[in-house]
Amino acid sequence: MTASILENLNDIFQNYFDDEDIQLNSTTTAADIDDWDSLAQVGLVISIEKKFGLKFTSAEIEQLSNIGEMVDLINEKS
Amino acid sequence: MDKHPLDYPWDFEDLFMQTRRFLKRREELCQHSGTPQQARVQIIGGYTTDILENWIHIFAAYYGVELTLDTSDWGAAFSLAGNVNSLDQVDMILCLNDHRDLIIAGKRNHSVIGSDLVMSQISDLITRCGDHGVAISMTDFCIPQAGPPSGGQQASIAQVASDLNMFLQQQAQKHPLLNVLSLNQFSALSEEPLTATLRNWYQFGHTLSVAGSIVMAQAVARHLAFLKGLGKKALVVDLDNTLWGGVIGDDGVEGIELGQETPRGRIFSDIQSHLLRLKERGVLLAIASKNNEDIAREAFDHPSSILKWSDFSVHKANWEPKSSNIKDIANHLNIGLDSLVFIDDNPAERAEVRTHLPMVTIPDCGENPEDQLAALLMLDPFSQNTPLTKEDLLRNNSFQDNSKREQLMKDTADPTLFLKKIGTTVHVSPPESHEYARCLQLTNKTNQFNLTGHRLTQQEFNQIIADPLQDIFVARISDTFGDYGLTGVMYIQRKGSHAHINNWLMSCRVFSKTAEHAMFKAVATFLQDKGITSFSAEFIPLAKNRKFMYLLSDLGFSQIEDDKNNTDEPMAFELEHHVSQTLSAITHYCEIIV
Repeated sequence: MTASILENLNDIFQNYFDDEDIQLNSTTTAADIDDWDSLAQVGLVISIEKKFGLKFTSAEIEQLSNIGEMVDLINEKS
Repeated sequence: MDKHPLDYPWDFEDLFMQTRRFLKRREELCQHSGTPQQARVQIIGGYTTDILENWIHIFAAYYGVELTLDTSDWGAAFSLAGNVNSLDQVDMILCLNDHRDLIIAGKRNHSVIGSDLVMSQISDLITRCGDHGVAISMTDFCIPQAGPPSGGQQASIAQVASDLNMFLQQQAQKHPLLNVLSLNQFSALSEEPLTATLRNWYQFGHTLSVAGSIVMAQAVARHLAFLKGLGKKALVVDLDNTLWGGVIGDDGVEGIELGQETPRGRIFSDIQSHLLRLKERGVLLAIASKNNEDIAREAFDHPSSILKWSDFSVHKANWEPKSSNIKDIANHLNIGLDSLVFIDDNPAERAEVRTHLPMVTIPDCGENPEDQLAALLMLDPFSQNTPLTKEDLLRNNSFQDNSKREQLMKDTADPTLFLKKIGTTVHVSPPESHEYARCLQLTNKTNQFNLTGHRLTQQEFNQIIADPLQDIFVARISDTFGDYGLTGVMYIQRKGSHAHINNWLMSCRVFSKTAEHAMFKAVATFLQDKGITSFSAEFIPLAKNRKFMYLLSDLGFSQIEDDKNNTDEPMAFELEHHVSQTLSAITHYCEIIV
C-alpha cells in the first residue's frame, strides 16, 4: 500500500515540478527539492488531495515534516 | 483534432496539475502569428494569489500577451489602493475584492466596515487610473451565504457587499476604463465552487478555489488581450439546434422550438437575445449553416424569433464544408480568422472547423444549448463590458451598406467609374478630444493597414497630444451608402522642416476607395502650408500589413536602398524632392474636407 502511495506521490511531484528526475523516498524533505517553497507546498497539498480524494486539516498540513509522514497520513486517511 | 486544454470547457484538476509545465512553456502557447504584445499588470488585494498569477501568465501567453505582473501586499484591496504610488508603465490594475475585506477581525467587537468608506477608496482609485489612462479590472464582492468569519454578522456583510456590487456596476457605466469581473456571475455559470474552502482561506490565504483562479485568470487575460488589440470581432453561428430547437428543413417554421412556451424554447430565446446584445455592441454576426438559404431564412419569420436575417452581416447557408464557409466569412468581413468565434451544437462540425482552422475560437461544450450560452458568458470573448465608440455602433451598418456597394460595383464595369459614383468623402483634421478614445482604439486594434505595428498606452497617447513637435491627424470617412466614422489616424513627428510618419492606421473597412491617398494628400498639404518640405516613413513588415509597401511607392515615396535586401526587415522611405508636384500627382476619387 505505502509503496503505491509513494509511487503516486512521485508522479504528482514530477508533474507538479515538471521534473522527471525527482525520486522521492520516505526521508525526502522540502530542502531536497529546489523549487519546493511555501507556495509549492500549497499546490502540492491541493494536488495530493485531488489525486487521492481526501482532505487534510490545517493541523495535519503543519505537522508534516517529510515524505514518509505524508505517505503515512495518506494511508491513514484513505 | 482535439481541443487545446486551455480552450473552454476546462478540466480544472488536470490544468492545475500541469501548472508548471504550461508556465515554463508559455512562449510556445501563443495562438497568434507575430510577436506577442507586452503588458504590465499591478495586482491589488486578493491575499495569496500565486495560483491566480500563474494562470494569468499562462492564459495571457495563450492569447498573445507577454506579461509583467506585480503582486500585491497582503490586505484588503480597497485599503491598499492608496499605496499604489506609480501608475507609470502600468496597463492594468487588477483589484481583487473579497467580502472578508469588509470585516475588522480579531477584536472583541467584530465590526463590519461601512460601505461609504470602501466606496470612497474605490472611487479614488478609479479617478487616479482614469487620469493616467490605466485600465482597471475589479472583482465584485462575493455574497457570503453563511459561515464565519462574521461574529454573527452575515446579514450585514451581505448587505454591504451587495451595496458595493451595485456601486461597482454604476461606476462601470460611467468609467470606460473600469471592467467589473463578476465572481457572482461566474459562480452562477460554474458547476464547481469558485471560492476557496475555509481550510484554504485559513491555511493558505486563498480567496478563490483552483477552479475560481483559472476562471478569473482567463477573464483577466481575455480583457488584457482585448485592450492590446487581440480581441475577437465576429461571432459565426450555426442555425439548427444552435439558434432554435429542431431542423428548419424538416420541421418547418411551425415545428421549430423557440420562445417562452417550452424550456428549450426559452434557452434559444436567451441565446438570440444575447447575440442581439453583442450585435448592438458592434460584434459582427455571421451564419455558417448546412441548409438551403431560402429555407433557412424562413425560420427568422417565426413569431418568437428575436433575431432577423438582416442582423447577420454574412449568410453562408449551403452544403460546403463549414471551414471553407468560415474562411469566406473572414474574407468578406476583411478580418483575420483569429478574431472569429464559432458556435455549433454539432461536435463533428466543430471538429471539422478546428482541424482546418485552429486559430478560430470554438467553445467545445457538448450539444446542449444552455452550455453554448454558458460558454459565451463565461468566456466573454467580446469583452462586452467595455465601452463602445461611435464606430463600434456603426460597424454593423457599415457591413450591411457593403452589399449595396457590392451591387453598384457589379453594375459598374469600370472600377474608376465605381469609385467616382460611390462619392467617398474624407474629412481630415487633428482629432477632437472626444475622438481620442477612438484614435487609441484604432491604433491598438488595426492589424492590416498598420505602418509599424506599434501600439500605444493611454499615457503614451497623452504625451503625444501634449508634445508640440508631434501631430495627430484623423480621417472621418463616408460615402453615399453610409458613414464609416473615424477610420484613419496618422501620427507625425516634426523636426525643422521635415515630417516623419511615426505611424499610420486605417480601418480595413475603408480599403480600396483611395481614401488613404486622399488622407495623405490632405495631411501633407496641410503640413506643407506650415513649412514642411520633406517627409519620411519607416515601414515595419508584420504578418498582415504588406499592402503598405506598395502604398508608400504609390504616394511617391522612394525606398532608401540598403544592401540587406531582406523584405522582413524595417524599410525606410522618403519623399524629399518635387514634393508639390508629387502631391498633386496623387490620384484619388474622394472629396477632401479639411
